[in-house]
Amino acid sequence: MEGNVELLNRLEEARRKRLLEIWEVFKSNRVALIALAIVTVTVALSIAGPHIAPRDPYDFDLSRARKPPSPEYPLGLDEMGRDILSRLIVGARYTVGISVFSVVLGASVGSLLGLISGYKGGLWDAVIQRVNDILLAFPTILLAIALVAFIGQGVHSLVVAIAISSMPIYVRLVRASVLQVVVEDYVVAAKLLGLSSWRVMLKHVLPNAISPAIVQATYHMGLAILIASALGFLGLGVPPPTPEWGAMIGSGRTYLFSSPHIVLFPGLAIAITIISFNILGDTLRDALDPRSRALLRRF
Amino acid sequence: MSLLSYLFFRGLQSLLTFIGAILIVFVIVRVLPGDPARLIAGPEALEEDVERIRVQLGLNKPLYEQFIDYISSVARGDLGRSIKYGTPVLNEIIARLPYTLALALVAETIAVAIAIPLGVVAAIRPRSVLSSIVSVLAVLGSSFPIFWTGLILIFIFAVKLRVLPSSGAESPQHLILPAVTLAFFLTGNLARITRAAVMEALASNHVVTAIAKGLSPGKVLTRHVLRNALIPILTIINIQLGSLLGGAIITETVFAWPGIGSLLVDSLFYRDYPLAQGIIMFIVGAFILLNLVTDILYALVDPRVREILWRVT
Repeated sequence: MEGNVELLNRLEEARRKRLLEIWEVFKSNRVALIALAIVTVTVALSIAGPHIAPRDPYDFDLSRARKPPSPEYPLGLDEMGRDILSRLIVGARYTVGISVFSVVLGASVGSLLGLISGYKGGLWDAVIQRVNDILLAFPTILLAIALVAFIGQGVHSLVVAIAISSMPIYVRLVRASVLQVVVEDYVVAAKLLGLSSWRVMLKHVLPNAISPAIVQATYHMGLAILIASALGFLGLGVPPPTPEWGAMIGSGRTYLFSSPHIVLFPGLAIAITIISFNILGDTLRDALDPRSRALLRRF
Repeated sequence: MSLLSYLFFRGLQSLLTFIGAILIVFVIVRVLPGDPARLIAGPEALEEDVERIRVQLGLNKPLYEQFIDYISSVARGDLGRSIKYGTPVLNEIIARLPYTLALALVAETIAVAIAIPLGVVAAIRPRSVLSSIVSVLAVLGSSFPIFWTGLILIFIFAVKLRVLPSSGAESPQHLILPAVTLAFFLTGNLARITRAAVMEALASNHVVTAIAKGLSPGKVLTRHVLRNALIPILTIINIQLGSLLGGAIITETVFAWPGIGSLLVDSLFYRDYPLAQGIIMFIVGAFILLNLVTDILYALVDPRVREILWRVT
């Protein structure tokens, strides 16, 4: 009994040390810190956007339409005379929020399927892998377009569409690392103790097989934002007048010749957010992958 | 397993994947909420008109019968009739296909022509400015939304400098901006992978041996390094050709380029669902075929890959 307590303490300490190490990697990398800050701000905006925005993002006035940036309206006004800054702040909720939810949903369902596929094997594995192969045969954006077009527009169907189109990669990743983990001694021991297979899967296999999926999910945020905004741009996303960033570019493109600022700022917002998520993914991978961590130390 | 039986099983696998893909598109279109007949007729249509469309399209039959009907007509090369144009869907696709192929081919050629030399030089000189350029290009290419890059290029070259046309397909010049947009999205990633592949090949034992035995640097590069780096590079080009098909949907829409991508977006807005379904099937089929051809080429070219592939299947 005492031995168990000691073991638990040691595990807890190891976990804390690992988190600390990840933080060390971030602290020593200024670019990663900036990216982390930008991601934090964007996520905060998508939660509290409407309370932070200086003006009403829906308040239109055609008499001041397409005004370029000025001290009063730092990013200018759009084709309906709405404040672009406020629309970007409130729109974070749609572009980034939809992406976060769809990645979390797609990664969770995909990881769970990968876990079942890798752990149970046999018929489960065969069925899940064949369906997954078929989903992988669709270019991601095409699958998302097809789903949105036929499920119908709106936030919910967007989240479901992007989640389904991003799911297959997690099935593969988690299955591959589950296959490596199931042969480890502690999993064999847990099985021999007679624990239920769900308990072994969720408590012992998943925690040790999930880190590639976490890194992938961070990268996937960028891709999800690209897809969400592309659907918005094509007019298949959230219906107007919602200030989704891609949709802002889609409706502003008509005025590209006279008022490029309407298209410029939402595009910059998308690009900066995606770059930040990608840098975050890179840093996280370096921090979680001991091989590259050792390499970094050597330099 | 012999080569012939490998080819047979790999082909069969592709065929089954394709049938599965048809089933998934079928499920998306027919089973998920949303009635295609109602979609086609529009929200104000009378119930009897909706019913007539339903009968015309065979939507009143049981689902499994509809699926078998659809599979057998796809096998005969019949993808149905476009509602907007009234012509067979396949004819519309074939008429637009050369535009998409031209766009994809030119874009991939630009990307390869820039990325491969850039990646190789960056690998040989990992701390040079060029190497940093590769990293920056890779970040920008995968972070800028393709439709936005397109619009910015239109603004610079068509609006400000007035040297290139902004949209349409009347002349070869019209291809330049969409191809560059699509190439920008591909180049960085390809250069980064080339750099990684060449660096790995440079570090491998047989290259070290070749250098040690006094082979000239040029010969080491062409005979040993590039040959070994070729497989990962070809793999990423193959993957890119798939994302090219996706990227083309957006690029063609931005530049009003009359390929199958813009046709798909148009068909969705006209609720021309047989056309949309046909284009989706066509793109997925092309994608599966592309993967099949690449795998077969690998099996024929590289004995190592051949062994791995056989072991897996």
